[in-house]
Amino acid sequence: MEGKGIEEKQVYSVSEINAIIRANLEYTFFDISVRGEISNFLRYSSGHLYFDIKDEGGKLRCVMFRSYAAKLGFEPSDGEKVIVKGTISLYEKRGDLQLLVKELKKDGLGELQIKFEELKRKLEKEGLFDKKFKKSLPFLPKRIGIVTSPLGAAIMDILRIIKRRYKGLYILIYPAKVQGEGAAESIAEGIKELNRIGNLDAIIIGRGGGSIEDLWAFNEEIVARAIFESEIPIISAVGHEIDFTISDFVADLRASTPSAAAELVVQRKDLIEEKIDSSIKKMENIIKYKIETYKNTLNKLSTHRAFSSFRLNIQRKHFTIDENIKRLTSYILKKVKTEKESLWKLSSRMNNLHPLKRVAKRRGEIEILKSKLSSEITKKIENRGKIIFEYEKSIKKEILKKIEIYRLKLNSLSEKLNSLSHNKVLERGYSIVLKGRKVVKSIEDVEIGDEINILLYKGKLKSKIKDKEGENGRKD
Amino acid sequence: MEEKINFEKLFKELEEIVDKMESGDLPLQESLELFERGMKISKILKKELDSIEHRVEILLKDEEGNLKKEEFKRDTEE
Repeated sequence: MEGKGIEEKQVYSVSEINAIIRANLEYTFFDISVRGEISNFLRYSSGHLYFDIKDEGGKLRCVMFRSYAAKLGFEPSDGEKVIVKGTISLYEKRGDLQLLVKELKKDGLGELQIKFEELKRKLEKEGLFDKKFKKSLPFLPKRIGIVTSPLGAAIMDILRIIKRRYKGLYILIYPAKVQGEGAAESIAEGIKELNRIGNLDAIIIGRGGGSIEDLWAFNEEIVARAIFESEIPIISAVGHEIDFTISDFVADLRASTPSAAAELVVQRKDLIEEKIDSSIKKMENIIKYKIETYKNTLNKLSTHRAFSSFRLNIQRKHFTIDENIKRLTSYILKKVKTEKESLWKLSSRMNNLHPLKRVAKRRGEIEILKSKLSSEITKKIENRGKIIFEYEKSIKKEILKKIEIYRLKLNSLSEKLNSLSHNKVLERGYSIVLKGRKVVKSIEDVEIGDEINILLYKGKLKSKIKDKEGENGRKD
Repeated sequence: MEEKINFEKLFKELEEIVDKMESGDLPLQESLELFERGMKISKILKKELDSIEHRVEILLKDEEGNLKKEEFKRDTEE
């Protein structure tokens, strides 16, 4: 029976079944990660690595081929806790199960990560991250120091933003090494040097993005201490948003990127400038409106009948004065004419009498007469002018006085009008609630226990607040 | 340092003036006085903003190892 049963089902060859198992395994366990401890580690001359990973309950055979092994940053050794990533497969020749490893990394925190955490804890304990030591940026930052690589992306980002956003900023760059050997010392020296030079409102330290190793200088104690000791506020701007460094914790301000650090500085001036411009506009509008209102009131007043008669009066006076001047001039001209004529007669008579000397003498007399005459005329005109001017002045004064009186009248009238209007309302049964001299418009204006006066159309009630109820608590 | 304090103080005063002008029904005379003061302050502040030096410098070591300020030139359009 048994034998028959076997024959009825399909019979595989070993190779066949191994191939099927392998395909199934590689399909099911493709790119999986396994955690364990290395044992029996062997590096073959071919470059392939052979080892087991194990835990308390079991063992798994692993192979890491040369092409993947070459990318390994360290030499694994027995006992090391690792995470391996790869595909489970079958070594068909022996029927052995094995994990074909593509990646192998140490389990737990990396070395740098541990160092970072240690220093962070230490400095935190010392108080280097305390808020009370944080300096704030000045109201208007004008002079900025930057500690970064002059060839890096950070300085370009910062300058681009400053160039785009505004024209007034002094920048002093300290060219620092920001990665590799001596970088931390270079950055720390930069901070110290800019402090020595002084006269800066803030210092930005930073660099563009990179691996944890690239950013490492900003995790060094020497940099942290230099930041802490800086008299000038420091903005730390290292890498991308997600990168946090020790510098970020010690600095007075942390910017997520170098660009953000520049924005931080530039924004201040932008906001201030905007605020000033909007203030100017607001003030101009308010004053324009005010003047316009006053003008209108004055116009209304000046068109009042009382003033129009004044104006007429002035016009009439002007007319009289004009008339007088006209008459005066024609009189003078006539006088000059008759004088001229008599002179002419005289001179012709003298001509008849011959002697030239006498003529000249007469001429002199005539000149004197002429000048006397003209000075008298101007004097007369001047006097008239003065009188006119005085007259105008007194009229103006009177007008202004009248305007003032009308303005006062207007004010008192409008006050009366106001009181009348609220009396009307009271008459209809409304009342006014007063606390002291203030009108109570909201429950916010009074407290429970306050004494209030209720103004009725006739008389006044004195009362006390017992309770308050908002609009929502209204009972119907 | 004194200059900075002045700037901040004047800026605050300007804000106060605008608030005052906006809020109350001030007499014309007072409004005009505030307006004049406000415009004067605005002018001072704007002048101060315009006068901020704009320059990019870099510290470089000369032959003797002394740091010297030099104009920094690198095209930001690259």
